[in-house]
Formats: sequence, structure tokens, C-alpha cells
Amino acid sequence: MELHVLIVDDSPAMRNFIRRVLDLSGLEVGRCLEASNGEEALRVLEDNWVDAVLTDINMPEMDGEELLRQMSAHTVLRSIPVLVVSTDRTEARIQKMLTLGAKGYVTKPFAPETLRDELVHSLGGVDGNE
Amino acid sequence: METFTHDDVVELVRDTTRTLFDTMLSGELVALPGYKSSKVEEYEESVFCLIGFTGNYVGSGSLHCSGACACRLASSLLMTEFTKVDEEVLDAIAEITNMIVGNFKNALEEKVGVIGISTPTVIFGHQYAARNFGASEWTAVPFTVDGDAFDVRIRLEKNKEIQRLLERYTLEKTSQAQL
Repeated sequence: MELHVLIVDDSPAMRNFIRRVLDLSGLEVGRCLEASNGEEALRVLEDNWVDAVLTDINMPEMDGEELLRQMSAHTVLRSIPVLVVSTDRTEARIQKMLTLGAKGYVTKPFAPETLRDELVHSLGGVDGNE
Repeated sequence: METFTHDDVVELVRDTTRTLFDTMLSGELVALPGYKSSKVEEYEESVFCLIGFTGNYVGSGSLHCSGACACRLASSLLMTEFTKVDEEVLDAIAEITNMIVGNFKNALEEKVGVIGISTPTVIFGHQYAARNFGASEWTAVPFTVDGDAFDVRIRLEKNKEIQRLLERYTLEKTSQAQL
């Protein structure tokens, strides 16, 4: 089963890095869509189904927290697992994002295998090759 | 609230930079002795990325390296060979600086309370100079990666303005409560 993912980060370099990590992860990655903020991510999700969203928190226009809040309130989008990838490692922030519905939280910098493992965990243990 | 020393800053920058190289970058990282500097820095053919601090302390964190070193760091992060400084290289340097300075800020917050950071600004030029206004000095933390040099610089001073604003806010709140 191919995994279709949406990467949301205002840094093109970080989106590029995550895409490379997924390419080399051994996961069967299908479409790898990108957005540079929460608002753009919601527009992408209007027209595309993805199996997981990987999002940063601090972004212009709409941040990752608001994106998560809007996805959680949406009847369809709430079923998409969200993995937060952020430099913010404060316990309060991590708890808040998990409470809002994030399935996992990875702090930057991260080892490629950490991102892979957290993504698989967020998907409920299904790694796309199964 | 705790304070911090020049040695604390050097140690935190080394820790955060080492963690970045252990996880997302490759190459043999060597930390050189940190030092203080207040002189005008003159740069040639180099990349300079600056991130501002605000909150209990104000100042900036920056990364400086040659164009060749910027290409090496970007190649390492993005797993693609870069031979000249272009938009992708500058984006990569911005992200690398963001992770080093952002994690330095996270660690420092445990000592001094909340600090905010700005988005990065990256400059690539052939000849330019940089200096700090005010009396504070940079703490410079130099490194080499496989022989290429780069340095991380931190400038921090207590934010007197925020204390003045907090006092004014408290006074206004007290006046409103008395009405």
C-alpha cells in the first residue's frame, strides 16, 4: 500500500530534507505533497487525500497549531494522522499538540530513523510495505 | 532567574551544533576555542545567516561560513551535490542556523525564561562588514567540518525595554482595578 503524505513547513530546505528521508526510509511512498503554511495545507487537502500530514508549528499565515485545530474540527480531515515536526521541545507545547489531536511529535534536529519510526507509529504501525 | 556566562553560551552552542551533526548532517565536526569579539567583522565571498532574539533577552544568533562551506553543509543536509551558492543552498543554511540557534534558545530558556526568535535572514556577498550596535560583544564559537570553517555567534543582552513595559502594564492594571 502506497503512502501519500503532505509535508507542511515554511522552510523549503526542511520540506526537501523530509522528502529525501521518506524516499530513503524503505516506506512505499506515493505522492509527497507540500505546503508552506497551514492555510495552504488546508487548500491542498480540499483536493487531495493523504494518509498522513507532517507539519511544523511556527509558520506564517496559519501555524501548525491552528492547522491541527481546524483538521480536528473537520468531519473528514480529523481521520488523517498528523505528525508534528518542530524545533519547539517544551513539554507544554508537546502536550498541547498531542491534546489537539497530533499522533506524534518529532523535535528538530532528528535522525532519519526517528522520523520514519514516528510516522509508522502515527499510522498505527502500518509501514506501507505491509 | 538564573544568569549565564560566556562559557555557558559556548557550551550550549557546541551541544546544539554537535546534536545537529549527529542526526541530520555528516562530516567530522571539530569545535575550536570560543572567544569574545566586539570588532567590525569583514567578510569576503561568504554566507551570513542572522536570527534575532527577543523577550527577556535581546540580541542575535548567526552562522557565518565561506560559500564553499555553505555548499558542503547544504549538500550534506539535502543529500544533493551543490557546487555554487544558489537559492537552495541559502535555504539550507537558513534551516541549519534555525536549528542551531533555535535549540540554543530552547536550552537557554531553562535558565532565563521565555525568549522568542525571528525568522532567519541570509546574506551572500563578496565583500561586506558586520558590527553590533551597543556595548555588547559577540560570543563566537568556531568549528571546522572536514577542514571547512564556520562559526556560530551569539549576542545577548538583558531586555530593559520589556521590564519597563511590564512595569507600565502592572501600573495600568493596578489603576484600572482601583477605579
